[in-house]
Amino acid sequence: MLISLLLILPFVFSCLMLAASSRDVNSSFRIGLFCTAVPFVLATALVMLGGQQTPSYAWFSILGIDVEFSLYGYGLSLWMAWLATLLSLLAYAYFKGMPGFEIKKFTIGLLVLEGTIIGAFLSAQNIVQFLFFFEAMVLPAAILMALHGGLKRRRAVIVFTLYTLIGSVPLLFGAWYLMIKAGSDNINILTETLRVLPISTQLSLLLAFSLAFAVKTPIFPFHSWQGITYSEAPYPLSAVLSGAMAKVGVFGFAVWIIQIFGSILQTSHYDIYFIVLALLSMLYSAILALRQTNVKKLLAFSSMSHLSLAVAGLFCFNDVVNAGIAVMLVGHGLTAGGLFFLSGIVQKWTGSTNIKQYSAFVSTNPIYAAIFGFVGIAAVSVPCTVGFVGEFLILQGFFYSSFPFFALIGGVGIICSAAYMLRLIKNVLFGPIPENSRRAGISLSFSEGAAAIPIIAFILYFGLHPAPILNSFGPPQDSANNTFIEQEEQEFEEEEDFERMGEHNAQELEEAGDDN
Amino acid sequence: MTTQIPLWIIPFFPLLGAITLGAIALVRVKSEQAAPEAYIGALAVLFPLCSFIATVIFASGMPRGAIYAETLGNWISIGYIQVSFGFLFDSLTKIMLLFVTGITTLIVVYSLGYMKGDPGYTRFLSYLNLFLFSMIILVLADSLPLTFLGWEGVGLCSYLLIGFWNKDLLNCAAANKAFLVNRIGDVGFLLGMFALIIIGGSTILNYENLNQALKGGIDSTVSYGWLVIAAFFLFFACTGKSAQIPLLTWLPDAMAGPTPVSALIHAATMVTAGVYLVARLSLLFVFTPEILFFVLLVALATALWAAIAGLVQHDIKKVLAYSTVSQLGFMFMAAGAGAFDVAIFHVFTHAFTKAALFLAAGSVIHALGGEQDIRKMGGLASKLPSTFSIMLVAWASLIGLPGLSCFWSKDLILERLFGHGSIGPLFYGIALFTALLTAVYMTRLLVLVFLGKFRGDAHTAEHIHESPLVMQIPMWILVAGCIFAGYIWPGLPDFDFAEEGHYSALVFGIVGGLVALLGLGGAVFYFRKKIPKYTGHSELVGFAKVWTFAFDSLHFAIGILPMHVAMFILNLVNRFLRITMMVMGAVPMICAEGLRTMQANKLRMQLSLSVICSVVFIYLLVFFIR
Repeated sequence: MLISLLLILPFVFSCLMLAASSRDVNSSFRIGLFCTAVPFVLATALVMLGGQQTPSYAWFSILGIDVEFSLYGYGLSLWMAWLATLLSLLAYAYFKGMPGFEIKKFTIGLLVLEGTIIGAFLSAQNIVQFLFFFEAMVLPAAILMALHGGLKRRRAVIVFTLYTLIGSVPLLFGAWYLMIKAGSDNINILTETLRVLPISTQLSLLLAFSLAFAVKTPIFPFHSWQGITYSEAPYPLSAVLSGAMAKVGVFGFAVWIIQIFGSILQTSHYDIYFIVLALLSMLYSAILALRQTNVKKLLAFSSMSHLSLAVAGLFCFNDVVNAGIAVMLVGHGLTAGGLFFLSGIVQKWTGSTNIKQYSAFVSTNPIYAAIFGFVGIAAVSVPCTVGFVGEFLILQGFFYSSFPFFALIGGVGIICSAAYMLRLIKNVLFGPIPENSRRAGISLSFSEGAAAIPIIAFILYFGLHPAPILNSFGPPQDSANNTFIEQEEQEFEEEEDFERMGEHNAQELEEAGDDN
Repeated sequence: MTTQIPLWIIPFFPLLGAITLGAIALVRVKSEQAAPEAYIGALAVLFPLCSFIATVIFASGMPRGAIYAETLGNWISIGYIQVSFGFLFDSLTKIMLLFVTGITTLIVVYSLGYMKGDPGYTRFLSYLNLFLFSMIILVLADSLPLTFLGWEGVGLCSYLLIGFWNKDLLNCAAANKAFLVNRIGDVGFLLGMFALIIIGGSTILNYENLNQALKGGIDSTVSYGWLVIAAFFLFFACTGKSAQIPLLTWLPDAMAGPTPVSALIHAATMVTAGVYLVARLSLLFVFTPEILFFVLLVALATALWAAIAGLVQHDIKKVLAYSTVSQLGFMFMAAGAGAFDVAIFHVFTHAFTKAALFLAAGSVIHALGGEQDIRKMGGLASKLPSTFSIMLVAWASLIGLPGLSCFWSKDLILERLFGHGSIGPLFYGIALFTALLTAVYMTRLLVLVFLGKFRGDAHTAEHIHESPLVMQIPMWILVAGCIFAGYIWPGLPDFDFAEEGHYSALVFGIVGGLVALLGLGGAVFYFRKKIPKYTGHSELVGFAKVWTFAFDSLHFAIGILPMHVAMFILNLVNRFLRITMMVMGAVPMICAEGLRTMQANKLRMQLSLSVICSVVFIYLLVFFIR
């Protein structure tokens, strides 16, 4: 019930916002704040309950494929949905201070984007449903960008939309092919079906699936869309894009690649290639982040670097690492999102995105500097902050899963991340106070200051007490056993159905072939 | 077990202090009137003092050989990774905590005078409290991950305090360098922990469990290999924090921070964290003699290199910084020779001595209005009699004049080195030579600063003044430490480290004392006559420059330069990818609409691209799947 509400409410609220006045900005803002706060409260309640799940409802049936609809809110899904609601709320609070925003349009767009992102995260059972949200989230993001973006926003919108949509075309066809073979879109049946296919087909499907997620995350060399997109999108949107939407890519790897292709990856040892590519991507983006002068591009590369490490960790096939990845993604959402918000404020103050133009905010705005410094240092993953727990668990996973050398490479990435973050902090906060600056009257607005509190609080809370996130993955041994038993039972029950369905499908396929 | 106070009270006080002072600093930002310094100062001293008193209560009520342990709760708990917040108070912790909290309290008092009138007064004191908190966590933790928390925490405070005067970007660059070089070491710390997890799961990260596991014996050669790897990486981490070869370049640069910071963090406490870690993991290192030998070699090289570098510096704080690196080398020498108790002994005596030296140097800098170049000093003995006497005692202690505290510890180190294996005498010779150099560069410092005639300008000479009482009292207490620390030591520890046979202690003492006197005499004779001229700039030239920046050059060659090359190449790759993307977008447009409409309707171009690509993908898929 709660989980269905969580999905539906953002869409309902976005319809409500249509009725809000575009002239009375303050009342619209209050309504919008309510609309974005309620999903966060719901998601938090869901997290406290430990997650929920709906049964599968028959959605529609086409070409012999029984498409179902179900919401799954445990573990990674749950926490990512929570993160999406939190970042939307914060984006909303930060955006109030941005000049030239149309509050009504932005709120509607943000709510639709939030709803689609939540939808994608909660679709861990049925692939059609996942694909629907996976594609749908591009549109509100593109529209928001077109409304409020920078000077080159037209180009950015086209690049972003087409690159990500085209990137997922192979996934569409791959999923379609697999569903026709399976006659269902349920992940367990898809997994079973894949096992009986020839190895070459399995690998082709693997490539088709992973391309879409590699584009979305993004992973080298499919990242060309992100520089222009993040730098042209308004800051609050960049925060949601990197903090929540990019994680759909990682989530896609975690659910649709690891679960469906897990066995073929391990038997064919293709997992090594994925780890190598992801680590390469991590180093590549970390090194490029070192020389960026555009703060948004710097943060975009930093984000890519962290997410690549998370993707690399997924291919360890280690339950502890998976829990660590969830912690790291939550942490990354908080720090990357927070840094986008905070640099948006600097841009508002100085009118520039070039970090060389910033200076000495610690002298002129110490409170802002304290927040920025804290979030920046948290992005380096020092212990006590949530990032450390994530990186610790992921890197130890490389050691534990007999890839010690990869842990060393991950370490180099950590050093690079410290280097570019310190460079950013130094440029923004330190240095001599520039002459003829108009710094006298500027300070954080109330909503900007208030929005920083949850970021700092959650960074510290999960850094010192990551148990809420870790526990949602359960003690791995028990949960592994449980799921194994459940799976066996399910398999046992479904075996007959499955066989029957398979025959049915085969017949239909033959018939279809005859028709042709 | 008479005490009932919980252990967490010790780190709790400075944490409270850091939060309180930090909050005051932030709240006071808007108001024109600065916070009353007396009130802030009293608060800032109160918390470390409480912490010190709590430590004393624990230490005094502790029976010999007792161990207090306390677990506060789980930190990371998932599957085979179980890490908890737990504290361990044994004799090693006791000694570290006693001098860490004690010296911090003294230096906070000193800072009240030194930082008086600075706009960041409250912030500075807040950072000092935060540092004390992290340092206490570092030494009080019962497991490696929690120690790592303190380890990074002190690194962070070091970063904040080196770059304290952040309007000068040079200070910020030094701070960044310190953080980054330490970060490289920290990755070693992480890898070392991971290697241990391989051997015995995460429970082995707890010190007591680790020692028990080691005493139980190592099963196979496989886990022995991991043990060596773990010891290597953990020592690598120590080279970062304790400024040993190859990660020592950050410490001399760290002198950009205010002098109390140099005294506290970069001389007395934080930089000895590496020695503490090696002593804490002594059993692990004893089980891996290869790594212990490696430690010894690195320590000898570092001590010798830094002593020579100390000979050619012009900056009073840089001389002391290289001296610190050299003395840390002595501590690791002792550890490398298996004499972990002696290493901690030298940590203990050196902390008082070097803190007094730095504070006296700070007093000199304060008196001269910020001048740090020893070529522009001289003849200050009569003008700053109190500072001179403090410096004199601390100097005598550091060069190892018999009877003072560092003499005892250094003498023990040399003795243990001599007895270490068949090539022990060779190591002894190198260490003795380094001790001779120590006497030479320290005497050079003393002569150039305090004897002869004043070489600065007349304007500065008029304003020379003795430091206020609030700065002098802490120094005099430290001087007491310089004299007596060697005598109170035998009452303090009760380590169960392996003891080695003693040689004739008297002979070693006489030789050590003679070497100190020799260096002293030679240096006085030489530097009284040959005073280096001030050349108009503070940069080093010739041999001095090459030698001092040897490792900076090395870092540039193997770290920074390749990184720049990589940046350049990857930027080209990135451009190529972006151009490819744009070309792929442009080609269909040209095909579809012809060259004339090249700048017209881009949306249509992109749509056609998507159609074409879809067709291609369908074709490819069908082709591959069939």
